[in-house]
Amino acid sequence: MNQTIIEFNNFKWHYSNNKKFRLDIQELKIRKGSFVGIIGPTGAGKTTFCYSIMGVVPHLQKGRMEGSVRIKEIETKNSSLNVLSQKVGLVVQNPLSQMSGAGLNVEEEIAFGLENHGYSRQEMIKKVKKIIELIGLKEYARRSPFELSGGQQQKVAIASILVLEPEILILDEPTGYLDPLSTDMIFTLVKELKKQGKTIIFVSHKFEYLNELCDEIILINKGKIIKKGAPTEIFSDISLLSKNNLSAMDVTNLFARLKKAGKWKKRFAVSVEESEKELRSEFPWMR
Amino acid sequence: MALMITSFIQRDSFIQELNPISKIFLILLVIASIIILDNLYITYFFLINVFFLAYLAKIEKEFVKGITIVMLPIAVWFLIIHGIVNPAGKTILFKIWFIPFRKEGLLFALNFGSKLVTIISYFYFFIITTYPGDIVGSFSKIGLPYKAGFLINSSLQMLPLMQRRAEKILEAQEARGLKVKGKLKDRFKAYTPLIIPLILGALMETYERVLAIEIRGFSAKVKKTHYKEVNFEKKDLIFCFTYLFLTLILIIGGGNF
Repeated sequence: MNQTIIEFNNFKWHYSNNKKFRLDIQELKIRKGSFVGIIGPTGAGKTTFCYSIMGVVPHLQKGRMEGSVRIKEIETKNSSLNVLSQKVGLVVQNPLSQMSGAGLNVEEEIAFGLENHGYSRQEMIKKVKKIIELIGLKEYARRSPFELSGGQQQKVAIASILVLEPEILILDEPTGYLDPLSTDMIFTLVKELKKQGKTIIFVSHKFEYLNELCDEIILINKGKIIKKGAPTEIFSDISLLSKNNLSAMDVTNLFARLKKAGKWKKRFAVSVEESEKELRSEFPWMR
Repeated sequence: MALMITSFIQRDSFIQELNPISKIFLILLVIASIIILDNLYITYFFLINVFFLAYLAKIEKEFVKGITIVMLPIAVWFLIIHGIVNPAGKTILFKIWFIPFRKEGLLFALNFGSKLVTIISYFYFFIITTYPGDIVGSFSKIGLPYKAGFLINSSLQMLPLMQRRAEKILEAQEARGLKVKGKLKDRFKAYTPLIIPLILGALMETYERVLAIEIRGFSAKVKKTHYKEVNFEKKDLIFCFTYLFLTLILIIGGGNF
């Protein structure tokens, strides 16, 4: 499990239509099978980071690139989106814009990527059926993706990427447009995928979920990696988060208040379960 | 199929099940006969035929409604303009107020307008009776470029999508106090602030869609395959030969009508 699957080396990317922004990652290695959360304020470079792994940067965007990004043995710059699309899958925020429009029902939409890669019809039928069952879309298979709820549409988007069996799955704020119920549905699904050993890069502002799922968190701001560490280490550091225009979770803020009142000296908890445990051990009257 | 983003109307009839190539074959036959033969009777034969096909496809109500909305204003405009200003016009047939309508101009409008209405009707018939997903598959099967089929498929979905987007923007503008009902002037005013968000939104979504298809291997240099099988069946052969036979009869007897 210690094999490196994504590697950035002296990577720099300048958009030709945005001189102010530059993504600058000196060195970064992501292990195979790990679940990495990406956090950062709006405009920090999170999406560009995802695009760099997918190969959208430099293949679909205009700009100047220095250094390299490697997906296993493939250097993204020297490869193509077609090759990379079988190694890496990308799911973005707006589920509607991810529908190719080529298929008029969920099954056909999911099969679009397979058609592009020339799979035989028999193989396609098998793969589509398998993924529909895995994602839980069986009852919607014959319906138009456009008449589904946002959460279901995002599931279709994830299924249409997963059907290509990429080793790496990038989810760039996939719950940004969704209501709490649909958000929960997506995180439950991702939890299942984690169990299957996929390498997952998850960009989100939903810290509670990231804290529960991630092995590692990368904080990005102004195009640079500010800090990389365990979820508890990053999410309990209120001053680091606030310096980077991020708000800590309510439960963590509670401990900051207790500290300010002189009633807490230990590390801040980052989940309800952890805080309950900590509080009960610190204040015997709560037991 | 309530929210399907195409103009395709799903009905249980053999017309919907025909291979898109058969319908394109018919359209080409119609265009060729109308242009080559330049005969009003033949034009009307094909015009009646398309309504008959719409009836067979069980979509006659939607078809008549769609054709009327699109074609009636054009037809009326044609008659008025050519009736009044066509330089070929000599014989005054009648006057409205002091404006004379001339026979030759009206006949030209009738002739040209009928051809235009007929050809457009066939295209409309194709759009509402063809499952867009079948177009790409049928094109590839006869060796036409995959991208051409995809382009037609996507274009067919463009109009209903734009319509939906326009409705949403209009609702949003209305919620912010814009008057969208009432006099013609008010309505015209209401539609102006709709244009920029509509076009910008469509452009942005186009970029996102390019990204969505490219990261799923759209440009992969392999022979594309198709999930949905589209075959050229016996009914397609019968359909094509029937219309080829009819057209030949019309061509042979063409000048004698």
